[in-house]
Amino acid sequence: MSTRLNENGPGCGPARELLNGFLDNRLSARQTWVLEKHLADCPACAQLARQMEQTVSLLRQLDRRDTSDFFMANLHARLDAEEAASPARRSPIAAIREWPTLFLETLDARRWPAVGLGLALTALVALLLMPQQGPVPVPETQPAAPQASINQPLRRNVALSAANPLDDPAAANLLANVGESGGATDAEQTQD
Amino acid sequence: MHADLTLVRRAQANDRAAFNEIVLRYKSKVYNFIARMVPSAQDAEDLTQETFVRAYLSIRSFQSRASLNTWLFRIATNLCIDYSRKNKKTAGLTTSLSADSDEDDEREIPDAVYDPQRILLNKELGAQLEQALLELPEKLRTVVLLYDIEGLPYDEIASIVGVPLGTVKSRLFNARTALRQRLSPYLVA
Repeated sequence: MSTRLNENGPGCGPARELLNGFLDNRLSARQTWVLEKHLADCPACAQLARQMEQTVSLLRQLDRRDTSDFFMANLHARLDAEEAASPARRSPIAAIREWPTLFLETLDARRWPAVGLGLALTALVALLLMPQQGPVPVPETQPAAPQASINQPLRRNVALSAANPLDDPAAANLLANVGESGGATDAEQTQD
Repeated sequence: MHADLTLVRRAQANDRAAFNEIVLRYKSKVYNFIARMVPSAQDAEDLTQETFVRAYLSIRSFQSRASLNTWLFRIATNLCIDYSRKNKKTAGLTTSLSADSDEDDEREIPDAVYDPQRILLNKELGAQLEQALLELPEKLRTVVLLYDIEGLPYDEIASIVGVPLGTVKSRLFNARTALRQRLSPYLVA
């Protein structure tokens, strides 16, 4: 029997391709006509079609099975256990896991106009609130304040050393150096 | 669909009653599918529970782009695949004979006028078909169960299984052909 069904005559291939659609009533009028014409001429395909039809019909008549009477009670017990464990489990990891989803939901094409409008308004408000600034002032060259703050005590110290009755020649040299770095007049006055 | 979405939104806001309603609405469909994907009735019940536990834990990630039906069947299908990987040696080859024989006793023949011979034949055919389904390769079985028994459209099945529409159609045809071959001694010539 099955060997007969495996025989291929002219038109058997295309007809068998249409068979699934035929079983599901998805063929156009023309396709149905082509198939029925072939089935009328080809006993092997006609038998295949009948048997396929019967198989599908049997499948659709299979009894439906249902859960046991304890299903809901058992499920709720499990959900309670999951909920009891949830604060520790859900808080950080679940929040991180949900981020991509929330982000993708935001990117949903249906929300693009609203998201775009929101971004445009935010940009406009930011622009209005931005403080008006003039040209950036160029800082003037500042005097060497740190240099002066170092030189003045140094000069004072050297002057004290120079006024030493032992008349230290090293102190005189130091005084000369300080004088070169801008405070010469002061040092000379102190020496005099 | 709209009512489903309302329930989902409520469940996402931790409304347990709404989730309960979802379970009541879908548990039979999910179980009916899983019960023919795995050979043991107890395992089928456990996997159905696991499907809803996972749904509960990840309900916040559910997006309205897919239907709730598709989403639940996707979870169930993935669980069945995991199950069959774990039970590779026996999956698809053994049947829970005791469970099946109990169910056979309760099976009703919808269209039979009282004709003992016909009732016997239908019983035999039903049992043969259940066995033939279990022996189908998992990929073919998933598609034929979702289409011919659960009545889902091609595009939803493609989304659940994660294959193109053309693959769904060819798997369906191959599954039906394999079942016909298996049942051919009982079918009309």
